[in-house]
Amino acid sequence: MTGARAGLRHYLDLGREGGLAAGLAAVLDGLDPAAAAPGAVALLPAASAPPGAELLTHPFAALEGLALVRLAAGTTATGPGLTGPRAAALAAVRIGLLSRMLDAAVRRLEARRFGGLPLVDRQLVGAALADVATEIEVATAAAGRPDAPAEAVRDQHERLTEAGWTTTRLFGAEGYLTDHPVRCLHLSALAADLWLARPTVTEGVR
Amino acid sequence: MTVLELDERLRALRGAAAETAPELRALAPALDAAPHDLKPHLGAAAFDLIRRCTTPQRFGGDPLRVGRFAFSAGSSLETLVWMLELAHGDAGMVLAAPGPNLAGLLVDQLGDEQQQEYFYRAVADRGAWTFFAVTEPDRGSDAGAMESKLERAAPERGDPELHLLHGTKKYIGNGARGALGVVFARTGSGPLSIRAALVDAAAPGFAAQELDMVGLRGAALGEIRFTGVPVPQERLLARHLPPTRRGLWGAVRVFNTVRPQVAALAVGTGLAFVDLVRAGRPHAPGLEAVAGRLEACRQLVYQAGAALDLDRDDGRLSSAAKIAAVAAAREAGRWAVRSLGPAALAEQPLLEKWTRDMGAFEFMEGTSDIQRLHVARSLVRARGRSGGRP
Repeated sequence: MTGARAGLRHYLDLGREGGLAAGLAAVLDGLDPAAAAPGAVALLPAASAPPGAELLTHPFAALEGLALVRLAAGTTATGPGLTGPRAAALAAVRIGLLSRMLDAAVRRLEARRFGGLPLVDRQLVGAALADVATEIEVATAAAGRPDAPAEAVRDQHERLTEAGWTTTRLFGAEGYLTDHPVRCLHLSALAADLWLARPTVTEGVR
Repeated sequence: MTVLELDERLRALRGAAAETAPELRALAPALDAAPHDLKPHLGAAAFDLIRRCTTPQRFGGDPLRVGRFAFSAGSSLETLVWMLELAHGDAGMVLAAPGPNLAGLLVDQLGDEQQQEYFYRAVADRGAWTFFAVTEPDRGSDAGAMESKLERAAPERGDPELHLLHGTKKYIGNGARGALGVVFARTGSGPLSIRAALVDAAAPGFAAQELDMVGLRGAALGEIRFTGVPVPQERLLARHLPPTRRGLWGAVRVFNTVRPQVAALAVGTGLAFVDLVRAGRPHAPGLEAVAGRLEACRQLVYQAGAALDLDRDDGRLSSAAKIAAVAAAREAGRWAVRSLGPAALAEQPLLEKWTRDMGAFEFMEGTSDIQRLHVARSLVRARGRSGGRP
């Protein structure tokens, strides 16, 4: 394993074991959010929200130790956003979160039955599990690629967002309540949307 | 397949609904922040439209009048036309409106005249929200595993026909704020023993609590516990119908009817995303493709409604419409976020809210996987009937 890959493993483990707030804190370590964030609002670990900053209403960010913070009143886009190693580190944190939630989904699907059969034995459910597991492998491989262009980085994060949604669906309606741990995948997508550098090319439909 | 063009009457209804949608959009952020505080929103013109369009005239409903046309509780297609336009304002606000909702659809199917009158007059007189309680914790909507029970009361209660309701229902729209509704439970162990009962939230043994939702918070999901709630014989639905039509048959018809409504909510939300991009980045790549896909889904939703008006048991297009619309709304949402960028998530709070809302449509009235199975079964059955001819 190269040094870069070992570093990414650290972020992946942090996301998996410590959660999004801990992972995001590590990704943003040493950065001034107001100077780096590409928008006027950023998702930050609640503990690192600037004193006196305006906190925007969000129904469950605080439950994950996060805050939606307006960085500068009356302004719009500001900083360049995350690129290179930090964008890869954020991807690794997100892969860790996704991996943890996929394991939780498998445990639920093994225990739950519909029409007498465990849900995990249903073909469509199995296909969803396989798709997410595959995406985790691809994303892990991609996160270690140095010098990926911003467009490729964003695309990989978008795929993680879709894999997160596929995983969230596996929890059914209970995953749509704010007290369910899979809420972290919604916030994982929001973190990418708010922190990644925008590509210079025009983006459209995938 | 020909395109379903709305006639003058339906175009008038669509126009009237569209006029009220901007107000819903303006009220939506406050509802998202405080989904159980409906007082500030009860005067919304769209709530009045919904009340008029869902209360039958014979039970005191006052029709919506648009020009020379009048609209009361009507066809599936009519409902889908106004619902999609209102959801284009905000789907969460649509679901926050008081009214008969799903419970009314079941009472239409399974209630006798006296039960329908009791239900609709109670909803109208109280301006009430209603609940439709099938889903159970850890069981979902697996009817075969349903645990809620309707047990005969002990003889000393004095009424030999009295039942007592026991059990828990979860993820129920209007669960905590509903004044009355319908609840499914077992009277025995067989497949025909599932019955539906009209239940008043003020009855002894009824307890409900709010559930905090990720999005579409106007739907106000709740958990309801029944501990010996008395259900007199006259509140058991379908008492005038044969055993095969007393329980889940009605629920299946309700689900067939509601699926395109969920699709309409999804299409409306997708079109709302398009509005944001059109305003903020009018030349965004993909705009016409996303809008075109949503318009195709709108057409499919209308066709599903027309098919249901011909045959209430024909749910094939309902399932297809839900699959397509839920996916299209999600694609529109992700495209909007990518197109508008991080600044928009601050400047357009509804963008962030709608990205949470769009997830709800997946879980309402059967997931996309369940709908895929419905569509596949319909396809196979249709080929069987036709001897394999296309």
